Amino acid sequence: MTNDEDALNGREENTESLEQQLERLLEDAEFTVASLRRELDGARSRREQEAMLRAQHAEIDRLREHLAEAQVHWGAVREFFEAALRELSSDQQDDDSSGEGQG
Amino acid sequence: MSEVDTVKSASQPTETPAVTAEKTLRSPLAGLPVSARTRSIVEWFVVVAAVYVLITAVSGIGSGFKMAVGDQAGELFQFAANPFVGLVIGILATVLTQSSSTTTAITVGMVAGGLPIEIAIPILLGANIGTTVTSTLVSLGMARDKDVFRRAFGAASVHDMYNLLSVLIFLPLELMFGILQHASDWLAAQTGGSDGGPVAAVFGAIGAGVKAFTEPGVNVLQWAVSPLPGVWAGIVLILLGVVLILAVINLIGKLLKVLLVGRAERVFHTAIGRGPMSGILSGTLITVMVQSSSTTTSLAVPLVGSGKFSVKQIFPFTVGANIGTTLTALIAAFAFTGVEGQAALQAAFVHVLYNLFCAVVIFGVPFLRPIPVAAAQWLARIGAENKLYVVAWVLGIFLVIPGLLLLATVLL
Repeated sequence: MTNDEDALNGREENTESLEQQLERLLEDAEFTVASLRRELDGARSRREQEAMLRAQHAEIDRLREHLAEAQVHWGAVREFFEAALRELSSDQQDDDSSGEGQG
Repeated sequence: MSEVDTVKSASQPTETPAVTAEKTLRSPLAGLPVSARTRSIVEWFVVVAAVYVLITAVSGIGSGFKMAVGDQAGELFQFAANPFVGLVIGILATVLTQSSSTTTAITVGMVAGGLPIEIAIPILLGANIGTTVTSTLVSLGMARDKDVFRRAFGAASVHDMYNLLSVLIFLPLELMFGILQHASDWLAAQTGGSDGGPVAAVFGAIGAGVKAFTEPGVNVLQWAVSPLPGVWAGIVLILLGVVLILAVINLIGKLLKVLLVGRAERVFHTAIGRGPMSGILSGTLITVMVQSSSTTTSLAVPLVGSGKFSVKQIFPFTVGANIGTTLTALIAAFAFTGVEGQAALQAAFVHVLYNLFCAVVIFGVPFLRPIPVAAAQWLARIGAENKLYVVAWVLGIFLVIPGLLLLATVLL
């Protein structure tokens, strides 16, 4: 074996070990990124959860208003049924006009 | 709605019309020219007096039922022997009175007066379905904003779906095996029977004390109808009892809302973020406090409508409302003693056991639990897009289908 061949083999081994090192570094980096991502998601989720709980507690502080409103308002019920009837008649008109258009 | 949806909407200023109206609780005795503390004491006295009238009225219904039908209750109510008729009667009676407590209290009185328990059971089950109409009607008041309405109607519908699923599971089981009838019979014998041991002795003593206390009131009611001939006197006594129950349950609800709103707030604050069991417990406690499941489930409507709570989060709370409302029937059962007392207790226990069994089965069986929430969200989604679905649901479930079932049973 000549010196050149030795040098070539040595470079190949070095390249392989360098690639392995880079691979390991990449794996470590990916692992770190994944765990950082998990931690970030967890922190966001905790913050959202806390915000939700705070909002819910704030809503319960208005329980008096909600209890006062927790009854049937017949005027609103009538309005709802009237709006539904209007939707029905406008749907029928649409159907009629599209039927005429086709005819 | 997902939890994330809840958070997103929590950060947005999605005030519901209910909240912007800024109405506050007002006691029926707010006009009394006394200090707040004295008024509070007077309100508690009125609540106690109203409970007295409630028990007296239930007792009056029992007496009136006996006077009207004598020993023929089974024969006269043969038309309701078909369980679907009983179910429909329970639904329609509760829709009309908007109070399941009224329907169950009347049923307890009638069972004590001789109505067979197998006829009463479907009526009690129907009361659970009928009571959901109130929260549904409350949600219609939030239809101006599509998203608010979708959430609010979902909160109301989850109670509908849960109660419909409960009846779909338990009515066939009851018809096949008589689970509620046998379990309530055993429980009533243990607590109200002559040989039921110490528990029965305690219940008997309470019943005797309550009866002694309410007897003068019942005598007054009987005296008031005494000029009428027998059957008519009984019928008028029943009607008088129904009117009194409706009035006092309404009054008790209004007063307790004012008196216990602070405690209800604390119960809510404690329950938030602690899971479904805590939700069920808080729903039960708040319903016991306000003596009305309709109030509790209607309260869920603006809470979910505001976007701060999801339908899934509020679902256990409405289940708890079903359990809490059963206390009224138990209170009503103390209007009677002896054999009548045992029959009344059995009817009250049917309501208690049914609602406990439903909670255990639907929350315990993994594939059943998501059904009411998913069904309610689906209905709310299509209902928010087209109001006609909502109209069809409200009229169909609470009036048309029960009415047609009743008509078909009468005609066929």
